[in-house]
Amino acid sequence: MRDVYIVGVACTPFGNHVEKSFRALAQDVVGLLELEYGENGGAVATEIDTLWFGNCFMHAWGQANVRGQMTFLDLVEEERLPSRLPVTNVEAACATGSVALHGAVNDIRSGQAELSASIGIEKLLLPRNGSDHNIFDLFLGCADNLSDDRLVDLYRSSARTVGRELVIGHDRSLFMDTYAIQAMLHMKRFARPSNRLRPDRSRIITMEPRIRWLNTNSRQRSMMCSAIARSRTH
Amino acid sequence: MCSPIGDGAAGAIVCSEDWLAGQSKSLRERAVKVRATAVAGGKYQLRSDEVTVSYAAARKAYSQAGLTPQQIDVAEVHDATSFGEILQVEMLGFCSPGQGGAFVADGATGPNGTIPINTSGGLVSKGHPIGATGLSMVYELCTQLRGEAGVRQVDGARIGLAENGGGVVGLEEATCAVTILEGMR
Repeated sequence: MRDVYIVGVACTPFGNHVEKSFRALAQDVVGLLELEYGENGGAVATEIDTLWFGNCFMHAWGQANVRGQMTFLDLVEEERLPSRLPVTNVEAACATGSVALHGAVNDIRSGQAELSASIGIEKLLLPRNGSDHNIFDLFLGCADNLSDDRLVDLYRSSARTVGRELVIGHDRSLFMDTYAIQAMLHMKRFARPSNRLRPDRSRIITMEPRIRWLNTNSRQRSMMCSAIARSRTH
Repeated sequence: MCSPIGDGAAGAIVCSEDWLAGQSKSLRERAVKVRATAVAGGKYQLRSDEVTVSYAAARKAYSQAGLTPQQIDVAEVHDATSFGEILQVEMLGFCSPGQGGAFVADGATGPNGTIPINTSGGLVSKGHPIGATGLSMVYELCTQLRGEAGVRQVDGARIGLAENGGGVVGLEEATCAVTILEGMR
């Protein structure tokens, strides 16, 4: 296999971009990638041989198929991305972005491409004035929907082994409950008289906010800054 | 705690060694080598005392890179909830099974720990716009391996690992991708 190198990375701030379209976010992230190369950035982008596009829920915005092809249409027409650019759409639930990178890397390893891009875009905040979709129901698409109740039955019985009941509803994410039950099973398996995970969890909760202020792309930071801005206007 | 709902985009451009050789010195110096990208699929895991899909993906990645967990300098792990960090430090081999809680509590994964984890703040802090999350991990690792992370910088970071799980099947993720990168500084 050939060696592969990352020569450009980009990340927009995470947060509320409900006013931005997928194409606008594509413009943002490609613009940031171009900046990685300085004055020559635009020329580098036009050399890209293949693009791997990651997204999970664009169908909630009306685009169920050819997601990447539609997302990058403007950039191709503006000749910021090459004409006839082959786009491969990737969906692997929360692992989508890394699997998109895996595809781009394999293009280089195999000799199919000299330069390949992987880009992931997601809009989880659905339109305020009407959407046929519920975000928590969208998340259910990342579970096993081909077996009747197999997953729910497993977590229901697992929850009972730790003295809990699994709660299901359209106002909550099943995933958060699966994580909670996994954590309780872990605690049960490695239980200590002092209930080992309790102090550990508080330690993590105190560590993460300390770091989040240092990452300017952080969602929590933008939420807090928005709250501060709102308080200053009142 | 769990990751907040939000929007976002992230990306990475990769190239061959031949392409890189024709570029400017400044671009070559900021390049980050891909030591491994590995993906493993989940199974209907019914027992909580077995290793999970991230263990399998990590072993494939370590084998591909010719590296051990002890050679990783900085890592981004999939903490859609805070428990993720405790479980993944065990699955990635940074500590033994069952020791994740104590490992984290002792500060080993903190900014000045033996293996700083989620210097980006992790999904719990930075958010988790699903399709972009894995590439945001790669963005943070490249920033660290280029020595450009400012106040978050892990001193001397040369090898970085990202663990990114997706979906759920049984008591584990439906798939997991592990990426290992090396800075060229």
